[in-house]
Amino acid sequence: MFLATLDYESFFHAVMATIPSSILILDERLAVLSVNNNFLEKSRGVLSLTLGRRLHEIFPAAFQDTALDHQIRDVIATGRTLHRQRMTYRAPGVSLRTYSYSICPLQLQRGRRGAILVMDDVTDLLQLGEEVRRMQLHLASVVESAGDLIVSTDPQGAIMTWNTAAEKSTGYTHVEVRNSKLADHIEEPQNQDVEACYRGIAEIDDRRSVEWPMRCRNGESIPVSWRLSRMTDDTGKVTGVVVVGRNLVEQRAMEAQIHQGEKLAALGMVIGGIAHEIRNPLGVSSAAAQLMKGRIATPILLGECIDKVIGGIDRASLVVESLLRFARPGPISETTKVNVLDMLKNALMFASGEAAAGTAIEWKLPFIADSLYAEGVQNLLELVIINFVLNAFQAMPSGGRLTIAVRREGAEIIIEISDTGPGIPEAHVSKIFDPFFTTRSDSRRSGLGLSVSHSIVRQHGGSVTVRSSPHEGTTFIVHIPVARDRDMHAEE
Amino acid sequence: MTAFVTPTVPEKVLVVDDDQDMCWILEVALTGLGCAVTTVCSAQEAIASVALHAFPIAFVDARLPDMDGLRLIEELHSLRPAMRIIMISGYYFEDDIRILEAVQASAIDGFLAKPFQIDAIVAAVTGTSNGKHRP
Repeated sequence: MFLATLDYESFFHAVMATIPSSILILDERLAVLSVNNNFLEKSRGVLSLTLGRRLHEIFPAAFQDTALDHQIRDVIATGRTLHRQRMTYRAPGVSLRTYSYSICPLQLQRGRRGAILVMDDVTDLLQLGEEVRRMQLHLASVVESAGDLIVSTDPQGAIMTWNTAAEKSTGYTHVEVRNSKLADHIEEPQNQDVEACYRGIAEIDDRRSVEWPMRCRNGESIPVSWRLSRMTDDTGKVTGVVVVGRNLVEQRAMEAQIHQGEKLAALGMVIGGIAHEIRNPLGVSSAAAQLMKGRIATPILLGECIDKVIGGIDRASLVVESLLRFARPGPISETTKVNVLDMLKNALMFASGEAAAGTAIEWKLPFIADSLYAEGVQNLLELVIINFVLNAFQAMPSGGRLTIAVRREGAEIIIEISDTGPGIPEAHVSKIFDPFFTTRSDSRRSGLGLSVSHSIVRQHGGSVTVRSSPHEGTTFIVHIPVARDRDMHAEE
Repeated sequence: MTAFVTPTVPEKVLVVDDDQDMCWILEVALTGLGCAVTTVCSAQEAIASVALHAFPIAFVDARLPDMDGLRLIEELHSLRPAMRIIMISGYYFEDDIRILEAVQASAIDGFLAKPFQIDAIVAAVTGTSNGKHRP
């Protein structure tokens, strides 16, 4: 046989040297018969000082409190192997180590019995395990402490894990939702999107977020922004999906609050502007009336004062009227034939005080301009034109060119009011007719003008459009219907 | 009516308001007192006028198309530190915090809210209100 060819002693030493464990062979008195190099290295011992010593002489004092002595004697007495025990001990000058050991009975020469003690240093292994465990706990606690909803599902969309944030947001516990479909927790019709996502699982893109409202236990629905990521194994096979959702309830509430605040601030600015617009003509009227009361000598001045009083009151009531029209837009019932050219000239006269120095005014009129008539309310149409002209002047604070063009196209009168100002940024063009939209930092005519104008033109059955290019200027184009044909009686 | 015969009326008065009717009213009222009135309707024109002529007193609107009235007043003061400036406004009230601060800091010598009393204008130019007339 193969074993017969072995030199047993050499074999014994080779095995002892090869095994990465510490091995001690002890007799009944627990005196050391043999040790391997590994043991000597670990215990920083020397072979000559170890052999023949009793176990408690070579192990440190702390070790004597362990059950090892007793266990070895027991193994020797019973002949039964003791497997995988664990002990912790510190060799002199070495940090605390943990050993896993086994004790095996051994038949010695001349009928004596002994034991073989095999010890493995498992300190590093244990530390590794501990680290893995700590890491797992940490990861779990990250998932659990996250403010975001973290849900994992299998590739079919059945829920596997459901973190605390998901429980808090929805009111459903992990136990309740486990194995249910994620789609069943999303409101209709977006739940269809969820299912579509799982059908096309390969297409899931974690860079894109989707908003799916989530159904809660209390029947409410909360807005949640989701991001989906696939989980894959080593071979690239999809093992599930991680779904991270951000509860948007607070964000939405904050947005609403900011929006409300902005509205109030805009309203405050508009009110400031309105006050200014009304108190100016009131001031004129009041002062003109006071002048008439005894201060004015000539009849000409008296007449002028009366005109100022009436004019001021008219201006104030026009502001109030435009506000009321804005607040309660309705169809205009009593329209008349409005001479467009007269109306434009009047409007320009009203607004011209606002023109900056160096402002040129250019008319582009067809030769029939005198006989262009629109159907409408003269005062209101004038107000519209005043607003657009003021707007144009304000766009040219250091002067420029105001162009007023009029023409008739079919059943419409088209009035174009252009400035050579900086133009309206594209992002603002869609908002300029909003009642409270303004880019002005002061409160004068805080944007109410354009929206009032728009609303008045719409009441006339017309429309307003805007054309603007950066650095070249802005043109407001007003379409209003031409005057209806009136027979002689109606004209009367 | 004693205001008409007061001997302390300044010769020249500057009125800065973008409302032409308001300028007209102040012009009529102040001319009636014997003042030479210059009216301008923007901050730029006001600065140009003040740079050329020394006005003992100016009435300035709080809101002008090209500049905030309070800022214009600062500029006018730096040009003519001795000039008395009365603010007239339809935007503020006399108890507005910005106005109170401006009066306290002596940035303005008086404030009149629109609509105002002509007598208050008279008092402001004749100095009978000590420049701090409250309507």
